[in-house]
Amino acid sequence: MDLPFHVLIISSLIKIVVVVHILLIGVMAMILAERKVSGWIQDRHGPNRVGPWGILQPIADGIKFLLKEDLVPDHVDKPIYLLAPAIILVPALVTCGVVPFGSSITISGYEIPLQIADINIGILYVLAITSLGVYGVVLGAWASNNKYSLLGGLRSSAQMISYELTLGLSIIGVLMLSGSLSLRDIAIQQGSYPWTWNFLIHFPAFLAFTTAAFAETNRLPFDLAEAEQELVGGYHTEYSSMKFAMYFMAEYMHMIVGSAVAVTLFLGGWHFFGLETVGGPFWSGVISFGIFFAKTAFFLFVFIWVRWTLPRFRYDQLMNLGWKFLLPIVITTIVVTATVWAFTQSKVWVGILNVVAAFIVVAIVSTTVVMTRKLEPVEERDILSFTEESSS
Amino acid sequence: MAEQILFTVFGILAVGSAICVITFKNPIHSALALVLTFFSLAGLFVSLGAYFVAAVQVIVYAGAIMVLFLFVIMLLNLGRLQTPRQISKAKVFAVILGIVLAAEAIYIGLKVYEGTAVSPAQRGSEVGAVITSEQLNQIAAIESAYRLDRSEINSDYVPQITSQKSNVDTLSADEADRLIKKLQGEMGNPDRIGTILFTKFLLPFEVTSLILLAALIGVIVLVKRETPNSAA
Repeated sequence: MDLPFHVLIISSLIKIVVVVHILLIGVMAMILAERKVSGWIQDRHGPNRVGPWGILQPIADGIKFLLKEDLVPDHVDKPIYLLAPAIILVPALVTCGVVPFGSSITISGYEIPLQIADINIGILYVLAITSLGVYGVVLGAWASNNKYSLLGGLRSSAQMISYELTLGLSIIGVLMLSGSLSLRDIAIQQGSYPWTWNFLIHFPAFLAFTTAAFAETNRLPFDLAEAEQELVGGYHTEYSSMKFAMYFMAEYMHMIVGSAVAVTLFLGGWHFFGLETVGGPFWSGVISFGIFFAKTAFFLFVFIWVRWTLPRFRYDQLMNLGWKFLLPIVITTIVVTATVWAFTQSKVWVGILNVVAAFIVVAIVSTTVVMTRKLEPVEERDILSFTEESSS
Repeated sequence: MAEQILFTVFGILAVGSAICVITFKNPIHSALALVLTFFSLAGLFVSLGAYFVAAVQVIVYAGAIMVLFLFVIMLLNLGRLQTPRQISKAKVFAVILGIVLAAEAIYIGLKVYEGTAVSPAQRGSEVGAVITSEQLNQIAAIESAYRLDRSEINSDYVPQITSQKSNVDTLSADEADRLIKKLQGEMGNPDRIGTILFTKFLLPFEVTSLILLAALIGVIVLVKRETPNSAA
């Protein structure tokens, strides 16, 4: 499948341009979707003044950001203050270079894979780049030279370091069974039907990955870094105009890329009931891209849905959830997956026993947490009492 | 050619940012320069074909350790460092050690340069000729490092380089160059690294993990406060 050099260069350039623009347009669509969906959830209309059905609202927002005065406060550390918004935006853009967004498309005899670069350490690359995302937040917070910003930055760095562990470890089970780090290989191995996709085989890991993805993108219920009621705006308090917009865009881009990675790892990538093989070598590629796009859009909808459903965690609840629940669960699923696979070679058993093991871990951890709560009356409302309240 | 450009760019970046680490007055700026150093080191690893090491370099150093560094610097709220005027004994010692190290590096560099300065001319005259002994040595080095077999290379890698030949010894110098490059690329793969880590280097690997475990336990022991509540 080796392409001639000029075809490789031209097709890569086209793919890069298209993917970057899909991301940028996706951010605009997400901003509109966020406001519309929040409107539906809260039983109101949402934006409906600019254009039909409010569809031009993101453009109006963008123009507003561009035309606003670009303030640089006197007390900031200028080089880092100016660099930080770029540092947070770049990882989100760079990560999408390894995400396979479709099978392959055949144009004038050349079979072009719908992926910018299929590198053999794909998922490690994703982890490496996402681990850099925290710098944008931390540096912006520190450079602002503002107490609220710094507190937001500290919260966010602690949170992102904690949940990065869960994020990385939740992928291990998938990697063990697929035997490859290449995202394309992982997507291909999952097959066409939902019951062969990884989210059923590694269900606890899938939930942990999703939760960690929420925390990594600083989305509600994990948005302590920018909790308005406590920290004004958190790490972006001192940012105005387009620099603030870059933080804003970066959050949505991280969501889009995170969803795309989750779809690739757990939801079968571009596969859906064999639909991706319908049509000729050209149309099957287009359809596979459409399927991938639809799955990512659904995942993004879940992001919005959760944001307008769950209230913000308290800091100790956040740390309890990350360290006492998610981390033990993912470590257990790694052990269970490896052991069960070594003895039975059956994905069905891996799936069932993973869920059983996760239940046992939750049972053990929650009983110990309840016991410590009785001893320490200060920590009255921990994660358990919180979930009980929200479900009732 | 592209490799040389990449090497030059990342090499200059690595050295320049490393100098910045020790010359910047503000600890946060120094820490950031260190992140850039790690990043350019990762770039150098990529140009060597060691993709796995490059990714791990970014994940561990740039992504985790330096974030913790920044975290601590921010919490301690360190200001600008006041550099003392007088020259301490440690500084003298450091300068002597640095000069020795630099001399060693220059000596080795010159030696390697002499080696490569001759070989391109040789290679130029030997295009199409049989594989050189230097290339055979390189392949042998890869073999011993990654526990490969010559028969494995012959059956798996040589046919990928050229469709006509099936033996390392019959390759031309050019083909051997491509073979070495391919082997180096493949050997940087995580599965290869995993294999040799758990076979050839099993003991060092386990010792390293024990050291890390000891450090972890040490941290918990040092940090844990003895309070009546936490005893239960």
